[in-house]
Amino acid sequence: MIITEPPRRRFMGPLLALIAAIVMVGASFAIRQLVIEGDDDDSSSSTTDTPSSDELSIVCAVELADVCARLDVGITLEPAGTTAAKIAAGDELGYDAWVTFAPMTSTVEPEGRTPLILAARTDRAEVLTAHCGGTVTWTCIGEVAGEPWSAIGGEETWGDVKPAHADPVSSGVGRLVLGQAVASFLATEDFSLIDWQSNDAFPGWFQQLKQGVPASAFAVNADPFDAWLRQRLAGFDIVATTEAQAVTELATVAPDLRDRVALIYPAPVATADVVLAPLAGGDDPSALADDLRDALEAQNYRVDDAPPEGAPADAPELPPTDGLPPAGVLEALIQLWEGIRA
Amino acid sequence: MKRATWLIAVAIVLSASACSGGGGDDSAESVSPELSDPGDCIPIDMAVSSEKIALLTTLAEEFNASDEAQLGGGDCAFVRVQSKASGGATTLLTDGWPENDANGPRPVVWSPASSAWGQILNQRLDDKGEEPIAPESEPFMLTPLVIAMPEPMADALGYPETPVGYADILRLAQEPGGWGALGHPEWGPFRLGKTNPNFSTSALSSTIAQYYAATDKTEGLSLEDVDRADVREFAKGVESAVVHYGDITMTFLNNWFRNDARGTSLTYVSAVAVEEKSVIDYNKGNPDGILSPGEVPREPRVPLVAIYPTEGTLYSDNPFIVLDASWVTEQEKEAARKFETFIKEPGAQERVLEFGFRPGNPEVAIGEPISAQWGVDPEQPQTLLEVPEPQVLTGLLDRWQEDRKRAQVMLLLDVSGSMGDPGNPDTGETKLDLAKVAVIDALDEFATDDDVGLRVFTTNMGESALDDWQDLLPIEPLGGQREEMVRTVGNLVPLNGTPLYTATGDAYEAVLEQFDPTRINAVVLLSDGRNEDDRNSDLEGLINNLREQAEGENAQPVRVFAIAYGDDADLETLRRIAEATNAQVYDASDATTISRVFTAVVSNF
Repeated sequence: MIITEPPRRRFMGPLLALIAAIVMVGASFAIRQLVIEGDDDDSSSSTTDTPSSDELSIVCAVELADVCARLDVGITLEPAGTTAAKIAAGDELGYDAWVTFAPMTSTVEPEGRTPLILAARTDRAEVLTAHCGGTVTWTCIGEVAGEPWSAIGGEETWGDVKPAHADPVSSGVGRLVLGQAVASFLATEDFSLIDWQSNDAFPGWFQQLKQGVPASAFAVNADPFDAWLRQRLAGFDIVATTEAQAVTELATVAPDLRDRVALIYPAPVATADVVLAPLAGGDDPSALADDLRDALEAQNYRVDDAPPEGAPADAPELPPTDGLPPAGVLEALIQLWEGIRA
Repeated sequence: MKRATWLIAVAIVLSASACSGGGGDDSAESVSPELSDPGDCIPIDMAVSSEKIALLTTLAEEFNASDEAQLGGGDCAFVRVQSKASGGATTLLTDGWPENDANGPRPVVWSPASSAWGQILNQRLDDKGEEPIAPESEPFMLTPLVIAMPEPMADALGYPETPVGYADILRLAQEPGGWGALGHPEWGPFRLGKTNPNFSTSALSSTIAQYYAATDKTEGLSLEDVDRADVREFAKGVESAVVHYGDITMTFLNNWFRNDARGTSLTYVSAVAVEEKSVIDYNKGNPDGILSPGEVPREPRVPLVAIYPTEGTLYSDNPFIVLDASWVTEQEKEAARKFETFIKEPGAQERVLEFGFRPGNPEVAIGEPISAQWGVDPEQPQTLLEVPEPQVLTGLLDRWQEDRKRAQVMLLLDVSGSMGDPGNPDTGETKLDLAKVAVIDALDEFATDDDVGLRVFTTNMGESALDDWQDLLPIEPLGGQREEMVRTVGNLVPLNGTPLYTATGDAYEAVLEQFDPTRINAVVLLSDGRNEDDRNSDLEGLINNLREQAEGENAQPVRVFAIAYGDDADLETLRRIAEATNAQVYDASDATTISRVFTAVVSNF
């Protein structure tokens, strides 16, 4: 296995980010043309023979680094947003497949799934759950983001409610979480631009959510869940992550830390579905599928729908779909989110 | 190839730090240890903030001797650690790190106390039109900024049952009745200990927190916020309670500890913004974080309590920055990454904890010494303040320079005959030549409305042959006499003997006579010799007089910051003089370091 990393993105200016966002709105459609979707069209593949897995090379979303590291193939790690932008620009990537999250390549069947969840200090989780009427939703989180904890039943010393999620522009999970949050607010995953434009309450809620997330959550190359654990739960109050990541990492942290973390499955449940997407011009990567499923299972993704060991006892079953809007809508959401940042 | 021998001179580091550097906080003291021979391995030079030099030296030694240092192809890495204050290293890196004996080799890895310094560096490079060289990096250990306060004072505030924030502290700092407002007039006014944010990480963090408190924000501090008139007034009000600044919090901690032994710790200073680690060290009886050989720790009579401000605080997050600098090769980066992995392993992280830092690896539980026994709370902090954007950080430092408390300082320079001795054999410059350059350069660190005067001393000078000193310039705003100051200093010549005690006592009294409570009142004493005045050899009388006037709730503190200059300086006497006034002695026994030392001294203002 050879892992290489492309040069790290630094100091992406607002203008560049805006251009990237605009490009990516159209990109979602272009991606479908350049990623070979499903198994029903082999004509665009460069070869007809199926190569063995060790002859393949893949580009892998950064959040899936530990999964991809278990594969016996050449790997390049890259933020999902970066890969999407390259594909949208028509770049020849030179890889056989892209291991990423489903909304980027919506018609490929997932090899493994994991719920999008929240991790919180246990005391904050109790107060938040009570305030949200017994069920935590992103709608509720957006309403309290940036408000003092003391206003919703918490301690004065907790400061303001600080939710955190990864940067939707660069992070695959970050964009899924943004989609989940808005789907929660609009009470449907099947929404469009018109739905949020016609909802008078949406702009205020969306802005409050965006501005309530500390900027440090979006630090380049930083994962907010990792940072939160390193800071012994001090930097944020509620951190969006995946069940797979949380279960995997909490299994290794010190018990005194693990005991202070509660995992919450916000309603409605949405999932990060991992796909092995063949790329135009590459070899057929299907020989890698079994290994990928094994790797996903080893990293606590759900391959057979059963919750991984270490998940909460009340971990829900997975919904039939990922519960997220389509890729094009996600891209438009990110553009809107970027506009608030600017 | 294993490297079993690694001879970096920890002892040198520790002894050199004893005067004005060392543990507790990132200090301006920079120590370049004798770098050992890496043999056939690739040297990976690492500049680290001073409070973690001993820890990193130990870890580097273990790494170099391990298989982890193997790079493949028969190559191996050899990590060499040198102490560089974060603020100083930021300046050096901004200037491309000129390589010389004082600066040491250009680093491959930089670990300042806080990642905020990396942001400041990148911003300063950007201001110069240059590319950033400090990429965002993961911290490998943490220690939060806290407000250290003697336990009885924390009790008087009701802490921890009553949450205490920066705003509370800062309001108390401006309370006319001082501690009397809380029923303790015997403690006098509220005195705040705060270092200089251009040098000290804890000062940088506390200044950020101060501006947040002024704006009632916990994130998103902007330049517009910082420039608001009410915010500037708030900042000036806080600074007015500062006893003096300085490059390191250790000055306050050491003075606090000495006062504790005399039972006067409650009237020296009321609160100091320090790192949590410093509170642990202090309460263990090791205020500077370094135990000299044979030193036995003595727990203080009055312990300190770490107050975690209710608004949140900032972490000194100790990033491991592999520099994207032109002088760093890919192979060096690879080797540096291996060391980074090594120090994040649980074994190394247990060492981190032993030194009073919080491990950056969450696999390692927080345990002793981070416990209530040592005045700190492992459950804190509950929330963090956000580090402002880089341009706000640099702007904030600029504003602080304008808002800081002003000073009234007498520069008291020794012009005895020995100042004509060689100071730098390489250049032929005398000690006085070097001192002149240092004084003139350091004038830039003063504000134009700082009051600065110049007095020189030697035996048999002035109008009367019996005079031991002569005022060359009165204590007046520097802006009006800067050029004259430069000219006058430039014309100094070495003369006679060293009437150290008389000159010191008289200078102290002179500043005391015109004591200004709105300013930092101080004497900066530079001397290269021992007292040579037959008419006054009463050191004990001098020390007792200084100490008596420095103690008590109504004291008018005049600090004597002393510089022991050159090999023959009477370091111990100067230390006693400085400590009697709750100030600090600086060791410039190597005369070529005088510029850096003098700048550190002026950081007190």
